[in-house]
Amino acid sequence: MRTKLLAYSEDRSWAAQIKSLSDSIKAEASIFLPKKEIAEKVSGLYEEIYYSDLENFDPLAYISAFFEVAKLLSPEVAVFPCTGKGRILAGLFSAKNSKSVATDVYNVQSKENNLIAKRLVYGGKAEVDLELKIPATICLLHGSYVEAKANVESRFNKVIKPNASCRVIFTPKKVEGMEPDKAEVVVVAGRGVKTKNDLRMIMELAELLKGAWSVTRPLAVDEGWAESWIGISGLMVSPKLYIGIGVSGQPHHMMGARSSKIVVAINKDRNAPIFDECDYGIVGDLYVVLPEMIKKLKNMKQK
Amino acid sequence: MTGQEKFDALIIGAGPSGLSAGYFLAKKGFSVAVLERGMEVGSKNVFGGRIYSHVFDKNFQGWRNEAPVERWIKKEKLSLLCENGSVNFEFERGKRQDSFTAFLSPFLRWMASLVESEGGIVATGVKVDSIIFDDLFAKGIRAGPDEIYADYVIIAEGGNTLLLEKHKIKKTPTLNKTSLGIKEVIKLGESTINNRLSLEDDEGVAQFILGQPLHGLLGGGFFYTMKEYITIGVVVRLSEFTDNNFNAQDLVEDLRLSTHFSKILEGGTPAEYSAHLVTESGYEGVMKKPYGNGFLIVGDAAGFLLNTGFTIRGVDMAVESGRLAAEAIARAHKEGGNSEEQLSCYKKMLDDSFIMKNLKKFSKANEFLSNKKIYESYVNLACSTVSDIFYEGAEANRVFESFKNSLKKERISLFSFLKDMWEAYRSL
Amino acid sequence: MKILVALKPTYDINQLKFDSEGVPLLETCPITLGEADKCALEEALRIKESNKAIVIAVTVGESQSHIKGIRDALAMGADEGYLIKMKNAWNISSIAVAKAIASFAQLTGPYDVIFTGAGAGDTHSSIIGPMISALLDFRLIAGADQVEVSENMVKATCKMEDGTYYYESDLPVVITVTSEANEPRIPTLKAIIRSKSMPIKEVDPSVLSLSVEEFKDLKVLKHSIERKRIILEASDQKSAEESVEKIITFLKSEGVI
Ligand SMILES: Cc1cc2nc3c(=O)[nH]c(=O)nc-3n(C[C@H](O)[C@H](O)[C@H](O)COP(=O)(O)OP(=O)(O)OC[C@H]3O[C@@H](n4cnc5c(N)ncnc54)[C@H](O)[C@@H]3O)c2cc1C
Ligand SMILES: Cc1cc2nc3c(=O)[nH]c(=O)nc-3n(C[C@H](O)[C@H](O)[C@H](O)COP(=O)(O)OP(=O)(O)OC[C@H]3O[C@@H](n4cnc5c(N)ncnc54)[C@H](O)[C@@H]3O)c2cc1C
Repeated sequence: MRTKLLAYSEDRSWAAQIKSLSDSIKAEASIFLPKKEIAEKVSGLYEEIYYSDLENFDPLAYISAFFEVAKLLSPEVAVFPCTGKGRILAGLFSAKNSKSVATDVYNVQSKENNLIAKRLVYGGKAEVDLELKIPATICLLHGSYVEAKANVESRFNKVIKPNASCRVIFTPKKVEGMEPDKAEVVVVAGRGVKTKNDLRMIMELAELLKGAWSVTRPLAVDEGWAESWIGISGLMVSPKLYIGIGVSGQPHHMMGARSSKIVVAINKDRNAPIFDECDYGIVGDLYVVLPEMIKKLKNMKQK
Repeated sequence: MTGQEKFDALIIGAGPSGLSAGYFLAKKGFSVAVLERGMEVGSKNVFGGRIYSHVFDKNFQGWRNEAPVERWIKKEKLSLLCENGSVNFEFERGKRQDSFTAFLSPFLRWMASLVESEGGIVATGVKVDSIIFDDLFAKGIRAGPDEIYADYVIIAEGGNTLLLEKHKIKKTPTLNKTSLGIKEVIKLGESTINNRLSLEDDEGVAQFILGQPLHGLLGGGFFYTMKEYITIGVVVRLSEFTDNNFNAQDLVEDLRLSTHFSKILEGGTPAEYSAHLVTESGYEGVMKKPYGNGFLIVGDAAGFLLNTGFTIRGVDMAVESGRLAAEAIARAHKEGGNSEEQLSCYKKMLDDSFIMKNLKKFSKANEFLSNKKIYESYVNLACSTVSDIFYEGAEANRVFESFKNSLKKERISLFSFLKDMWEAYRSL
Repeated sequence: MKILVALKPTYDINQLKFDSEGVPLLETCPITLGEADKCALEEALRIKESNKAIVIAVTVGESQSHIKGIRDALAMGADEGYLIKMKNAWNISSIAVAKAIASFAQLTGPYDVIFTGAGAGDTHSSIIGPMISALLDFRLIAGADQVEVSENMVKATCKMEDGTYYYESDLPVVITVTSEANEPRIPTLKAIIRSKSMPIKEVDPSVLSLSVEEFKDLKVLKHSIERKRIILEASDQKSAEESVEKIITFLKSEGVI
């Protein structure tokens, strides 16, 4: 009998990554998404798609809807994305089943009737081999699986909307440019960037590379220059190209960009930790290097 | 004692001296609080690793079973390293366990637990901003918004004597007699250490190094074995860094990578790196009057520190001075006071103790150690003499002959050599 | 009002190093209370000051760092401190920790609010708070940057990946707090001295009737990604131009631009 897997996602990209994981362990996958509009976007990825009509993120309401589906299907594996919401829901779900959650997991394989997987800990500096006894709950790391292609006929099933547990007002974040977790190139500004005005250069570079820009946490939280940041407590991204500019490369930040294909660093301090985990680095003042890079890329474009 | 705002004694600094004072006072029934600015006991204290046992044997019953000792020193080595070889003196001790290696943090945590087991308080994360003086008497301390009072204040702030200078009890020391101590801790594993250094169980090595890896700077290197780790570092006169273009961290690296150590340390992982300033040391640097109305000064703050040129020694003196300060307070308390006169017995006790005896004995060391020749020429001299002695060519050199040749090579007159050696004999 | 704050001492992973076999050198890595945990405690203390509440701090584990963590909480102003004595605390599974705290809350409660940090500094899995909420059937506010608790309601704002959520919820509630929520107080000397005479109460896990699966010692190893580490210098304008030129060529041949 095939392992039954139930996924949670709020967008197509995650849904496709989890589907890929499911295929790799030959599981029979179903998915739950909070509302119909989102559910429709994953059409063709999963045979059984469940949705409710949940409004703004209310963790307890969300998890009771998910639980309804779980009661129906009795999955052996529940998979959530390693996002802020995914972690919360995974915690709620597993506790109801009196089981642990494995977060920050990648490289999942089946072994006898259970699963083995790797988990990143200590801000991605270290890894652990896990043996996951079924039934298991995991939070999957972004970018650890390529997105699966749509190749099945989907059936849509509605789950009744549970009662709200609290009042919620949601203000979506303003995104200037592309969303980092969906872009193929991400340019990140760190504290080496001295003023908010200088962020223009970062944005310009991102635009030239048809990518998104973002920042490290201090620039978002302490300076308020952006609404989100890359890292373990922010967005996890896995672009083809990550460029860190004036970023020191502390583990909490790098954890969010670890699965990038190519990592480029520009930093004036040769001993910055980011140089230990980059493919290409330039040791130099970003105020000299960056304008040069922008100039060269512009020239290339014109040609 | 809830919410108590007056103590019999307040102690500033939870290094070996402050904790020792705290322990002996608490043991005598005084209410004490030891105040430490570090977030944890031991978090601000750097040191190279060897402690002499005698103070503990005399005054801390059962300590050998409780204290976090890493290894007992079995082998003492002095190594002169030069370009193409090294001369090593090794002394192997019998079963007497005179000194041991330890990490200061766990060692201080152990001392702090002694203070607490006697009912004393050790408060961390508390930076003392100033001492409260009233009518020329120390009456307590200020820390942030709080004022706390005490009959006796013990200043155990270590070598960086900001409080003593602030209250003009001591002048700001000059830079030219300050040294920089730099230390690396390298993980190697217990069995690797024992195999590579031919040690058994908890036997350890203390080694001092002069010569090439230090590039002729005024200073020396040290090497200690911990249980699983090696501590390796250098102590160099600070003025050398301003006069020369040397990076402090590179010096330790050169030592680590020298032929002498690279094999021993192969495969090790650096686990910790730290640097610390060591002010004036030796008899010259000792405070003439380490007490006053209502206060006493102990440990490095009072200058009870020896810089022997290769290594720094101060823990045993810090602990002993803390103990003597507690004795002095007990005596003064019996007489019902805390005046300068009543506390002056501290000075007498110090004079009679090994602290002042040691410091006097080494009093000339500082001067001798400022002689740059020893750091370069004499090391080379020793190397070439010894390598000549072991020369495997046709005709065996006679020892004196080879020595004279070496002197010539290093351009040292026999007279100045003898003079320096006499200085060395007198001071070390 | 009765408030429980669950705290966890964590490794300072910025300072974590590994030996040549890739084994983390945990014994030389500094341990402190997580920043977010301190913010959680600070939130509780502010409620205590404005609303009259009793604040109880608890941690799971029995090492010196755990004792120190509770001592620090008492010095900051917690009314009582408890240690749930479980061995090998660094290796206990998250559900075991959550269950220990939940049963402790049932034993010493009822509580109106249970605070924890939104993520521990070392693992940052952010799941303990939600687990406690599920185990106790409490409401949940997760990842709060701003919290306001009144007699019978909590208002909070939480930043998530897609924007900002404002919540109003009834009590009892589990609230996880981020390190942005506030500036935790530094205990004064008098507070520290006062806390020294307060007992740290020990809880034997057997009274919590836990059935915790024995957790195996997990083997943690350095995680390294193969990176090329081609580092170029740009010390002046000219070398900057050259280096940028080279990097662009590299990136082209990688097919990423
Ligand atoms: C629990 C927890 C969670 C965290 N989560 C996150 C997270 O999700 N994301 C995150 O980013 N951080 C996170 N952090 C914070 C993280 O630990 C670091 O503090 C942060 O990532 C550092 O940001 P930075 O690299 O911009 O700044 P810094 O570390 O200050 O680095 C700035 C760099 O810029 C360089 N520089 C300066 N001037 C120039 C110049 N002119 N030219 C070139 N280079 C220059 C400097 O050499 C330096 O390396 C978290 C911390 C904790 C405790
Ligand atoms: C590199 C190096 C290697 C050494 N190697 C050895 C060795 O192998 N063997 C040996 O015996 N000795 C060695 N020493 C010397 C030894 O470390 C000192 O002699 C000893 O630690 C002195 O103890 P102390 O209590 O006087 O001062 P310290 O250990 O310096 O302690 C002073 C304490 O006071 C605290 N403090 C200072 N100001 C305040 C304030 N205002 N408020 C609150 N707290 C405050 C400090 O944080 C500190 O914890 C070495 C020293 C160095 C630097």
